[in-house]
Amino acid sequence: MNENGHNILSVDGLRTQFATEDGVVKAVDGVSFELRKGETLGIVGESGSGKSVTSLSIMRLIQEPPGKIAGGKITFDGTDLLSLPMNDVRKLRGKRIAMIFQDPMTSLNPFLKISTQLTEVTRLHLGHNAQQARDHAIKMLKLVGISDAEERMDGYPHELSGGMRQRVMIAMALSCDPELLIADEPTTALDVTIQAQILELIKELKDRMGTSVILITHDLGVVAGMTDRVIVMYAGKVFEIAPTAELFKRPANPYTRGLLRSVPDPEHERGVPLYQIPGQPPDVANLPPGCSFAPRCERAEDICRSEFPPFVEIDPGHHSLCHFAQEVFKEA
Amino acid sequence: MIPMALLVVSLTWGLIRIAPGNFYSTERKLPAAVEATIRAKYGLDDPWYKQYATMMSNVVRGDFGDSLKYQGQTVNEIIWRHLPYSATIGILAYLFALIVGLGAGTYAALKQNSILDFGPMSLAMFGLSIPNFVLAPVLVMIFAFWLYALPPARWGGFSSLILPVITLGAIYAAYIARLTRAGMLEVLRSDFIRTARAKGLNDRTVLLRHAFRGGILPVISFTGPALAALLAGTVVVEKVYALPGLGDIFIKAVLNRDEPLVLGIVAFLSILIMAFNLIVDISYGFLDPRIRYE
Amino acid sequence: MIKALLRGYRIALTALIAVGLLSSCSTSADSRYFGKTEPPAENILRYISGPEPEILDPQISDGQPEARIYMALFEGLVEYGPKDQQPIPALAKRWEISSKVDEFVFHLRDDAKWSDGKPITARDFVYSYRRGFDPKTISRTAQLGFFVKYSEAFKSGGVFVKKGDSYLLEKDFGATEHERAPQLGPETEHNKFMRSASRLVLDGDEKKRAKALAADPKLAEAVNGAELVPVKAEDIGVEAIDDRSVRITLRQSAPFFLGLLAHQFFRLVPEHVVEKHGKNWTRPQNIVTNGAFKVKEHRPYDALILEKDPNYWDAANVGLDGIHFYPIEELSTIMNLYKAGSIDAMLNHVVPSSWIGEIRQYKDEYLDFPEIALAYYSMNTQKAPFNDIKVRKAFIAGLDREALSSFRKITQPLYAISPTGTFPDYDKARDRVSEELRKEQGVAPEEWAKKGRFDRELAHKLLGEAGFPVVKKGDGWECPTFPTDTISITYNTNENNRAVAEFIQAQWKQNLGITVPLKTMEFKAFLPYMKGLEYSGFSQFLWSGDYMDPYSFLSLMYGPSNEGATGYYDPKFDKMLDEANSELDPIKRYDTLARAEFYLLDQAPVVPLTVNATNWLKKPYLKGMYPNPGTLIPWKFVYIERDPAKWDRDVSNIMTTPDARVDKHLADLVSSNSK
Repeated sequence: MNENGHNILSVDGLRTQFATEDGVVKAVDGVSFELRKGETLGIVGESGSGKSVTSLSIMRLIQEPPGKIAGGKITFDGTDLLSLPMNDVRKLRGKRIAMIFQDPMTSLNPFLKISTQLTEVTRLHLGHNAQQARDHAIKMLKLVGISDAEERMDGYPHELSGGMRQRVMIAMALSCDPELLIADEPTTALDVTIQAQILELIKELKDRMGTSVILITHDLGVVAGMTDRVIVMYAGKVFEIAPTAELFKRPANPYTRGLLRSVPDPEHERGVPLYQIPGQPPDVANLPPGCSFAPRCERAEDICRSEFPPFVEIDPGHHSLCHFAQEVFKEA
Repeated sequence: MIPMALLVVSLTWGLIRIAPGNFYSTERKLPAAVEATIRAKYGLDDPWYKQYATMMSNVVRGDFGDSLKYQGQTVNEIIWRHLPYSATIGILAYLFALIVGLGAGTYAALKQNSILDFGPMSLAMFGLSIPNFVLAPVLVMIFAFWLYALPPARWGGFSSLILPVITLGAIYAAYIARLTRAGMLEVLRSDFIRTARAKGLNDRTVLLRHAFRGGILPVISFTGPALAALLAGTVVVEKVYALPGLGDIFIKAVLNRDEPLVLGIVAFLSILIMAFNLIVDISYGFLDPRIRYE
Repeated sequence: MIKALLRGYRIALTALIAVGLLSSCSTSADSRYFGKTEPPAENILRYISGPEPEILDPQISDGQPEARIYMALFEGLVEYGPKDQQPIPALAKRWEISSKVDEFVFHLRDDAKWSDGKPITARDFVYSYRRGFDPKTISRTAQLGFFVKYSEAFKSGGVFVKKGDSYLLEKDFGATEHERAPQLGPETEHNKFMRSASRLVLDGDEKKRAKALAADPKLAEAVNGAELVPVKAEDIGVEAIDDRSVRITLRQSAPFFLGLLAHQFFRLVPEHVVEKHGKNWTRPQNIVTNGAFKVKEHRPYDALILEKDPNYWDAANVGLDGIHFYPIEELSTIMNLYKAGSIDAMLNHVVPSSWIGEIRQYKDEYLDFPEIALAYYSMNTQKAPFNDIKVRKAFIAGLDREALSSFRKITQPLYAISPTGTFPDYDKARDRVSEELRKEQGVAPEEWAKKGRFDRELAHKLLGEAGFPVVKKGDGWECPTFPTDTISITYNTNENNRAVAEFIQAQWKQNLGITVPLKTMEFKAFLPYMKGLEYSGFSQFLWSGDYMDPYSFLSLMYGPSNEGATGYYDPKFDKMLDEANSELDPIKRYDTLARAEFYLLDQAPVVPLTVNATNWLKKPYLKGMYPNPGTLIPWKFVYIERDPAKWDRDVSNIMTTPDARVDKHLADLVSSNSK
């Protein structure tokens, strides 16, 4: 793991639960991974896989109640985030770890000016006075490609388009030059053309500022162009982790394989139905014993339904949670 | 605003004229000559449109004339003399309602579904159900007689304002608490609150800078009709606590058929209510930039 | 921050409750008295006077709350005595009355002054009375003074009829000329005029006059070609013989007139101020008074602050340094203020019925005495079926008034048309006359005692005779033929009135099987409805006497357009009343009045209900304040006793318990009348 420098983030056996009417939902059930400094890590999964909850857990943004981080360890640059007092957590948020969210329309405060929302970050964390913060904010806006930054500063979010708003969010997140940026589905709510622009922007800024990035998405296409490594999550667990290229070429998990097959291929034959992973996404409140994917897996055997699968190392850096990981890998 | 007020005055004038009885009748019979003198003095035997015209031409100039019952006092004099009492009680009551209501509602929203939520909210429900003319005697009994802490009635110093303000404001505090709680809960669920937290802002800043404006919007809309209802509420409070306010005087004026005084107060109140509503509309735009009239 | 505030609230509330529990253990309220009973630090009375007074001009308003305030600020020739409201000397130190009680000469004090120091002379009286009777003044109480010769003519804007050099006289057109007593006081031009035969007065309004003339050809003839001379202020029967003597000439004998002169209408108004400021003369910066107190500050609806007037002629004997009148109407608020010790006394009729049970036990403070005020239901005798006397008597017999009074708690049952219990001599006269009538009519005593009382059988009998038979139905009765859809009990909206109406409705339903519908309306709407005889069936009628004489009540039915609101008019009754008033022997006069009253009762124009009780509280340290029949307190006798040993004990004896200070003060005043 320690190839190019140290780990900026280390998640070990994270378990996050929610108390609901139907019982305790284990949204994140034993997730472990590491993020190297400067790396872009993708987390892929369907809705309900636990990918967003994982990132919120890192930021300690889980509402307690009804949620609860039930176990595990999260180490950020040597500091144990889960045992840190909230005051210190807040000192990290926005300064060393920043997050951008899915829907820029609702993620910015409609009642406050853009300037307020931008300047408050640096005034809080960097001790800027009003003028310094304002200058810095204008600089950041220009950096994210908003040319008429001065005018935009005193406007309100509803005056901007979706893409512009997301740029503002990025500017806000990167204001204090954080070491870690978590981007939770940053382009899902945007038009396709804007999507590309935003992703380009993130890549460019990341390169320029040396930020480590966790990019969460359900879209494999996004992952392909942006990430160094990918984690595939299902039913709150890490099902496969591998360098991006290898995951795409040689997946070692039936679920990953299913995901890859679901991506429509422009050369797909006409008339033949598009592939979907059979079955329904899992009811995380009532998971079956054994492998959570077993009910839908074409390769499932009795052992899959009764025994929880092992986390098999295919290569250093490539692991898969499957009884038949090696077999699937070879079949690729 | 002025034409509306004039319309209200005209309608009120009509109603007073239609109502049976007049201002000079008492249990004693009035000699015919005296009645004639009165009627001549006030032009009561002129055709109705002439009387209406006379009245309107004076009213437009802001001249409501003398009170018919309290001879020698002008209507304007009476209104301005007693307005400060009602205004003080009304404003303090609403401030009380805002402070208690916003505070309790916000607190309940923060501690949602805990005992600190159910407690204040049940109290609020209770408060809503008690009419102020029931609350008043209960408060007097507790604070004036059991505790000997406050005077039971009459205007005189700060301590005499406490019970009337609470009596009048309690129901609005309850409404506002519930509205604030609902509004806050609504806002605190928003994505932009999550963003604010993700930026490392502490709970207080999140609450006051980010959540507050959105959360209290329902309270602002409520303020318009609430202030109008508050004016009505002052009548009972003034009566029970023997405060020389405009509400009580208004009722007496109607019962006395004191036309100039009724018209004067009605005109004044309608302008006041319309002004309130205007202020509310403006402040709404002030708080929510999305609906500003650009 | 908000959390801190809320924590603060919780601490405050807990502390408050703790303090409360502690303090209630060591309560300072003495259980002998109702609430906090401590004389005020200053020598000032704090009194609840009722609604805000409409104006401080004593000649304008007819309200009792105003009357009490006028009594502090203004004085007239005589004042009400504190215990019995009988007249005592005020600005007049002594007087002479003619043998027929139709002329008075009053001798004024030498030292009487207005609050601004200006001396009071007889001229002030002439001015005041002329001003009061002037139609432009719009006084609502002037009609009480119509016994003063030509005052009615002046106020009504009437005219004399002058033919050539002489005026037409009343006696030539059917009126009986009053035979005057010998002249009282020196002869003057004015007095000669007063003593001459009464001039004929016609209506000042042309249309009305034309109507009257059209109806009487003889009159029309006489008036034809004559000059009409308006009656002026100088024509009325009041004269300043000199600076210190006032003569008043009446148009007929009026034995009760002296007592009437204490009424607020006859109190003086300051000519120099009224003429200068007109309608603004009562404003605090302008007003000048002549009573024991003067205006210090007036905050309408909040307080009227009076202070002792050093220029008042009897200032040395005035017990208080000031009075605060608080205009509060809400009964429970008044009771609370009294209990908290914020006020010392209140006006009459304050204690709510639901509190009476508890309040009665405070024997040193609660005043329960009869008033000269009564309640009856007038019946519209002009609308069927109440034009039938049998029907009227049936309803009277069908009502148990003892039960009504027990229900009301603060009243006594009434079987007459004037109050019982307030005129001791008249009560005796009534008993006497009652016995005489019984003997004349040859009725057995037991039978006689039942007259006018609750008698269900009699009620049924009468209804049957009237054509509305009452039949038994189950446990009760019904009267199916009685037209209940056209009648009602009408009353003005008020808690007490409603309770009474519902009780009586239940009584009649229970006893007669007739359910009379109830009809309520707001006071101002009720007045024309009742007085204009628009109502059908019953109307509530409340009346307080204007002066201490049963005539104040009997006169309600006097004359064709009387105030009784029943449509009843009987010249025979009028004649009996006139006879009584020309009777100079007070005992014989009362007998005659009693006969007239019994005659009237036999005609049954009203259902007598109750006599009111005073029903108010005063602190035991307040002395010189008595529950007289009108609750009209002459304030100069009131004082605050600071020695608890001398405080009032058991006020049911208050009228007979001697009070050295008050008794001496009264004695001094009265003795001046003989000098």
